[in-house]
Amino acid sequence: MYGKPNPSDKASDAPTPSVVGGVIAEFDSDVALVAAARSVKEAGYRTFDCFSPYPIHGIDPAMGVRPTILPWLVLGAGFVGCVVAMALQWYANAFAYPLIVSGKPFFSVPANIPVAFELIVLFAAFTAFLGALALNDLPRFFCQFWSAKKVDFGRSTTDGFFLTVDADNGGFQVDQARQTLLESGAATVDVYFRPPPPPAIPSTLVWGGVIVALLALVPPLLTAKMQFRNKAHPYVHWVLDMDFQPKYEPQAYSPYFIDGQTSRPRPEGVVYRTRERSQGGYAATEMFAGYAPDPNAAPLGGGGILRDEQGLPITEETVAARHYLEGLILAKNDAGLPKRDDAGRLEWIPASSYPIAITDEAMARGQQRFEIYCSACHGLSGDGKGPITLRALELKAPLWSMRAVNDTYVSDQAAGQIFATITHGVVRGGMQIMPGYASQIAPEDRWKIILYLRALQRSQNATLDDVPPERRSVLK
Amino acid sequence: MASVAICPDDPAYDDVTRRPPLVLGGQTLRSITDKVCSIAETPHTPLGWYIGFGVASTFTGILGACILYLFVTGVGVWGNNHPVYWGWPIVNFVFWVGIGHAGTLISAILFLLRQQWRTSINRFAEAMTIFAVVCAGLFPGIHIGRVWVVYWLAPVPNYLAMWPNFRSPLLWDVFAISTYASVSLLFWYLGMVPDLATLRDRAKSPLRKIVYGGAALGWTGSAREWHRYERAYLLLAALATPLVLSVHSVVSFDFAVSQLPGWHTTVFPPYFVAGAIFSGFAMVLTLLVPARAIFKLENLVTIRHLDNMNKILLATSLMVGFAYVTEVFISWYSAAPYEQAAFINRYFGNYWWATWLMVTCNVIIPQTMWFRWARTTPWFMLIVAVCVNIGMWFERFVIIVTSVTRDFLPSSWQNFYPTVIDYLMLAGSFGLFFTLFLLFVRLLPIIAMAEVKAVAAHQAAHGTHDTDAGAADGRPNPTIDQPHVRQAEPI
Repeated sequence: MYGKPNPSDKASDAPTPSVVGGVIAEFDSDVALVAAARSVKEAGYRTFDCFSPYPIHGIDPAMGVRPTILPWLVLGAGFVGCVVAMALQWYANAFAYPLIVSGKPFFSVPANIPVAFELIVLFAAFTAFLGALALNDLPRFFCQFWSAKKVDFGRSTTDGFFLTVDADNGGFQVDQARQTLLESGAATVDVYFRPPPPPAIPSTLVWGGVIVALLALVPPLLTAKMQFRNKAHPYVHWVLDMDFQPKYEPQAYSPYFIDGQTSRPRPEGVVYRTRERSQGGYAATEMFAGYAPDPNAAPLGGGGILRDEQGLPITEETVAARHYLEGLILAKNDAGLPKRDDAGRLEWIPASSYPIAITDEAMARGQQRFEIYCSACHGLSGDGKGPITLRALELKAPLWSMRAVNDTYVSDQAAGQIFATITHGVVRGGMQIMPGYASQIAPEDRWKIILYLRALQRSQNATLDDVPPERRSVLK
Repeated sequence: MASVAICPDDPAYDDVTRRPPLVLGGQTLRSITDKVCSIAETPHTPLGWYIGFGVASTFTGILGACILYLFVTGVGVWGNNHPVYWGWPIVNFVFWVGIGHAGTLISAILFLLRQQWRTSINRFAEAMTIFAVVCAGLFPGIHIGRVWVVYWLAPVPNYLAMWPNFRSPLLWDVFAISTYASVSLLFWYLGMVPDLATLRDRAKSPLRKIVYGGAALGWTGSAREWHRYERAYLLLAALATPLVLSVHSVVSFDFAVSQLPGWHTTVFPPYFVAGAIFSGFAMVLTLLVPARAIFKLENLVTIRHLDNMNKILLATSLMVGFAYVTEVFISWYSAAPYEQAAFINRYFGNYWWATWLMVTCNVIIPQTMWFRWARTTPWFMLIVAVCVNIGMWFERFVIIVTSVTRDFLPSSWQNFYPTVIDYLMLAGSFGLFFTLFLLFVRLLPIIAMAEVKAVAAHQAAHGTHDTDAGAADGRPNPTIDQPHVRQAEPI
């Protein structure tokens, strides 16, 4: 009697199960079934059930079926759905990915009602469905009532009305139960049997399954591990969206041009515009742009040769370029010669000197650039209270802090260090808390900004003695 | 009133003293089962089914080919272009999702209102809902350009650390449609479990036993199972009722929350919901009237059922017409020149023909349903229902296209020109819909047998004046029982 219920089993001569499961009776109508259910309950039976092709109203009190707990489960699920929806929306739009839309608040209940409503319904509906199945002990692909041969239990879903009394009832006796059912108006009564216990699963199969299941966990775990690396290049993702683009890299081969290069020389009459390459750059950067240096441009640093403590040559052009483009100068030993470390590398330190001429024009240009690029966050006086900062504080932006650049923390830094900060930005705790401005502010202007910043720092902590004597009368 | 005695068996006749019978022809429990199951069980598939399936699946294939072409080439294969970026794909989406409303409405709202006449048509309508939502979900899914990142619509962690904007109606739409599809599917399937068990117990071939046996989940029809089942069904109906009203409201927010004249109106949510129910009932009629004739279900799907559906069709047609008038009135009353220009353009501008076709099909033609002859004549109601389907497609076309073709900047004014792919995909979506539907009518119980049996048994036990239901409706029971011209059905 395993597997699907099968009416044709009745004709087969399969060995009859011997353990009596209970008694099954067929009735002629729903009315008779309700009456029988009432008398079976009154006879003291507890484990019995009625089967009909449609729900019979009034059979629940007759059988003593108590109201199901399902509505409470559904209510709870709806509540959980509401909490999940609100938490999800708060996490996504107010915490993990705060997105400013028309100045609206990141988290506000009215905007979150539609999604909350949908999730309440979704959770509640799945609970109603799955809860009804679980409470009914479904899915279940076996039915013991088919073992009764005198009745066709398959008719219970078409036009048959059945009542079963299980052998679980205390003091159950087949003859007594049969008698009760016949007295209740049963048309046919028969005995059904318990199924034989299913054969045990071989232990090799069990352990094999466990091993396969554990191995199957390896790829997802590795994938998950890859997602949490702290690396600059993209994480593993299955759709290689725009990772590989059909394009020509600089300095690559191209069949389309006579010189076989993808990089094109500067056409006649184009205005020269300095491009830099700050990382590892040693010279004016035309060479990185892929075209020939301008022969008429004056080389930086005059083209002389320096020698370090080991007598090795360094071009002055390199030194000057690093000073100008990176704010670094060579560290000197006691003899005034460039030092090398144990690995033979030249030692570069932040410069305190300026590779540009210090003039009123440079200072004015620096002020103008500072007010364009820096003051929005750091404030016009460098006090760290620019309009963006004020707005962020008003919105209680998490993790927001703004450096006052006119205090001693910055004024104590060498000019080359400030230059590096403007160029590369600031990274703290793995977060780029200030972006680099290399692409927006030319090196010349970065130095001029530092000049103006120095003036700001000095003006904020100045005494009367700092003011030139001939100007002191203005302050009085 | 003499007609009571003359045509007592006319199920469409309204007599307050007796409920008209919902099941005709002296049906027994077995005859109902035989009638419905034989459609799914007969080894002789009707020739008409093969022809219909052949045509429908051909169009489904065309749809698949168009989608493949779209993925390989890009959204430029459609006519969507400046300023009409929301062209036919969104028209088709709103059209199909609207059709998908009648099923759950019939199932849930009429169930809660104790309208027992729903039992013969609810399975049909629910299936239609599922398949319409499948067609609807297709279009937003494929119109996003890069379909391989469609999961960005869902709030799942991704390598960009990017999350969707929960303040956007487009995201509400994702949640509303997917919830609606899930809940409709649950509702449909839960309702079908007892009938699948019937098919399982009648199955002869091993394949049918396994497939129907698996799908029926081991349902036996025990009173304890029925108790929890009915409670779960009631809960699902109670959940689906606000859901069905919310879904098209959210769809309407896609338009109403934007600032475009012709879209930016507060009437949109109720207007869209009424239109959705309207189009859904029209589609149920379009499918039910032929199926009723082909499968000879006249005794289960009676003229009374069709009459009731036509009354709802008429009521929703009037609601939609009222919304059209309201929109025009408000555009005048608002004194906003852009609003006024949008509606003058809508009715007399470059797409005047589409607007008047919409008004004719949706408001004028359904007025025939005031006449009893029209409500009880299947071929005529089929014509009206098809007209309503056409009209409701044009309603979405008019709302979407006329508003965006006339932008704020006259320099960007441009008409919309659909491409061949647009036409083929619309036809293909109908192919997909009918393919799924034909599979449903051939393989699954198309009428909720258990519910019809319960109604038939109730009718047999209480006669057709139905005092219980009368009391449940809050109306007093008739104090003087009219002599029943017709005897209770043998059961």
